[in-house]
Amino acid sequence: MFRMHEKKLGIAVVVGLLLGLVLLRTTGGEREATGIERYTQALLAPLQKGATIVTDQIGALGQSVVNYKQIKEENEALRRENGELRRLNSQLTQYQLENLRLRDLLAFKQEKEKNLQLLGARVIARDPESWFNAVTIDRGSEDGVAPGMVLINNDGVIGHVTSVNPRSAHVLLIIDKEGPVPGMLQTTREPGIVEARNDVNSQLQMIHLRRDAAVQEGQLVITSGLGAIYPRGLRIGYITGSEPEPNGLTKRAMIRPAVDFQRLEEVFVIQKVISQEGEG
Amino acid sequence: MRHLIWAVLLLFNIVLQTTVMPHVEIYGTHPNLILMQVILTTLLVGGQRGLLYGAGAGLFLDLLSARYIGFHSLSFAGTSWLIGLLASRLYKENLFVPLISIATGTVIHSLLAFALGRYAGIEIPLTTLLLTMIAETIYNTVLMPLLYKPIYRAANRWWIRKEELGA
Repeated sequence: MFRMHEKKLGIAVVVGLLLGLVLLRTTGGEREATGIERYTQALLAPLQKGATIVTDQIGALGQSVVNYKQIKEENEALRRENGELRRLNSQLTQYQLENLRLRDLLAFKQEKEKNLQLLGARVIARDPESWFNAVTIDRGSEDGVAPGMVLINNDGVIGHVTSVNPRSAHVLLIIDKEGPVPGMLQTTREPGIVEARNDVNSQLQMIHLRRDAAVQEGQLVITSGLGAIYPRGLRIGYITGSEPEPNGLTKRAMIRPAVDFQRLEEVFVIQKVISQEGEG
Repeated sequence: MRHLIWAVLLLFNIVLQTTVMPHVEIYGTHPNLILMQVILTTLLVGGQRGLLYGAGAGLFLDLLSARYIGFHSLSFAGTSWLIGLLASRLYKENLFVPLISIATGTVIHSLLAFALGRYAGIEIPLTTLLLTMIAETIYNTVLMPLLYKPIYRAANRWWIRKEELGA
């Protein structure tokens, strides 16, 4: 019985082998698929399609995890680059603005050269206390700066030097309460004393104006040249309003300074006054 | 019923083999799940029956590829028969046996496929054969421990009669 089974199996294997070898040799290459082959393919196609969709989605999910890591790294790199570019951009803008300011200052210097001997300087520090209005410049006695010298820029008068070191100088600004400036209205030549206002920070007022002095909003106030420090004709600021003083005899005018004291950077030190406004 | 379960498993493996496995390709080779199913079945049911399972699985693949009918059926049948001969007296639950069987079976299958391919007129360079054979052997052997226990349990439970085990 067992042998019979073995024999049948042996015959089947040999027949199968021979059939297989014949078919293998004859069915190779390009040919039209038979019906059974097409059915087999058709049976598997929907399953393969479903599996491919699932695989693709899993792959996409996996890819998105990989992408997330890549994107995160890329994002960090771009952030760093962005920060660097912002820094460079801000530096360039700063240079551009500085260039414009220096150009204005140069033009100003050339214009004033016949009247004033100017020395360019840079503000390097501000007073640490907010109720003092003073700055430090990068020029000192080695550059010929001396106490009492006046500082200006192309907008107007800034203040005067109060103390000097070899390579720096301390400057009291005109908006400080201890730095009054003798001034006058440019058009009417009405004199007065310009000083810091007590009630509003960084603003000025002109006191001791005659009660009937013609004071108009927008009028330019310049230095009068009285006193030993400030030469005549330097721009101080513009009238924004006026009111009688408590004594009833004089009045005061409020002034918006010509100089923006919050943005002081490049300045000039007047080393020597060759001729004042209205002279020669 | 048991043959149907085996066929469903085969279908499942063919679908995986043709859709998922190409995504885990290394050196142009991916695990051969169908071969693994055939070899593991042979280990469980013996060489003679394994030969029939191998021939059946191969024939299905032949029909699916619609070219070189006999290529898969003969190579799978031959592999099953030889593995059946080699592993007939071994204790199947020892993981080492299926490991060696899968490695050996993959090598045998590659060599048979090479020979049958040559016979049918398919030019397979020797270097391609060697690289594919080595990569696929490693791949299949590494994956085998993951598949063997589930297949063994499923076989015990669904498609192999107790008296046939290790026949």
